[in-house]
Amino acid sequence: MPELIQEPEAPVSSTIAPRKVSRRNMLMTFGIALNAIAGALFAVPVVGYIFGPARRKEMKKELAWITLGPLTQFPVGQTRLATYRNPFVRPWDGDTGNIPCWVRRISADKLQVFAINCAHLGCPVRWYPQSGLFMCPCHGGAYYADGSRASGPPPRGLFEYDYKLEAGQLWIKAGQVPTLASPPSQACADQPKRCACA
Amino acid sequence: MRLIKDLGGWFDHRLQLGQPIKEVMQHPVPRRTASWAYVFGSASLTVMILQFVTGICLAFVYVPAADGAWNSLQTLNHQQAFGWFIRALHGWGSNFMVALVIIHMVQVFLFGAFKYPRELTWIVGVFLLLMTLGMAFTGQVLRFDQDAYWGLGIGASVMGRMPFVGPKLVHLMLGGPIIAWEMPKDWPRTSLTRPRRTP
Repeated sequence: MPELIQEPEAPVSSTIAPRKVSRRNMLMTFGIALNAIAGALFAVPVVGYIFGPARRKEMKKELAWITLGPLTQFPVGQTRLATYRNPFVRPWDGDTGNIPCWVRRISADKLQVFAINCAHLGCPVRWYPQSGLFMCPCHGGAYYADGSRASGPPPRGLFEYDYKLEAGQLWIKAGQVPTLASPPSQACADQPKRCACA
Repeated sequence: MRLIKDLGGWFDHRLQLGQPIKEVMQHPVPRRTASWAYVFGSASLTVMILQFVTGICLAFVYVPAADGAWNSLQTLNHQQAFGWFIRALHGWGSNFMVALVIIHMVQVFLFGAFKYPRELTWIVGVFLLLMTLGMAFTGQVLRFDQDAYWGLGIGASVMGRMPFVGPKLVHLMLGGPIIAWEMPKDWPRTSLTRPRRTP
């Protein structure tokens, strides 16, 4: 804005010596800088502490193979509730470290292991053999026996764990609460609308 | 840089804080009053704020139970990011807080700053000192290790020597008849909700 430069005061002020940095001002700046450094020294660990659980290093170790017990306790053609101890717990996690899941045995060596959590907002679904449906108590989500979405608000079928059979035991890969952002199995990530793993 | 300046200007135009702060910082004071002797009040305030922040952070992980406290401290020290640092900061902050508050009290006493019209400031300060000492004591008890347990025993023995009210005070401090979890369990709730001022 050139018109500002041609203010009547401008020539007057130009005759005065260039603005001196007073000791008072310099010490104030110095003090602010010192406080900023001290504040940063304090803030960095606090922020790191609070966001610690979201660090990549922490998030990498959240899936592990864990056994659900001998395969004989899951009869062919039935869907049974199983519980496992989460592979990552702290000593005081108590019962919250015990995670339930649904095991559907289709044939001798073909199974589906569903997470208990509804794909909508994570409430625990329950298997009703009479109607052949998984039902969610929260918002009316319903799933068919193979875990695909039947009705209600869920955007996809039930989350499935990867499984393997070893020495007569059923193993699943588990460790973190399943969400749309982190499904326990990538098997049907390409078909999130209707999980067709059956 | 210009963006920061504009943003700061936007806030200051609405908060109107910059000018008053500048005036306070540039306020001329007599040469002989510009002394380091006066820093201990605001130093205790600063340490108290640090104690609040680190204490709230530690409360995220700490388990207030006799069989969980020690394990949660191991998690803090070895697993939680910066947990060891926040814990150390809180522990040392507690020691510094007591030291600073006492130095502050000595300064106020020696300078005669408790005299009229500041008697009430002194009286409030006495209670704040007692609260600081009380929190320093109950805080170190939270570890619930041998130190904490037998430290409580010492506290109980000291209290028990009070005439007349001794037995009642012992039960009040322990929150029951024996050295058990009651008192430390109570502590985080009271200390996090009780308002406190620096003397």
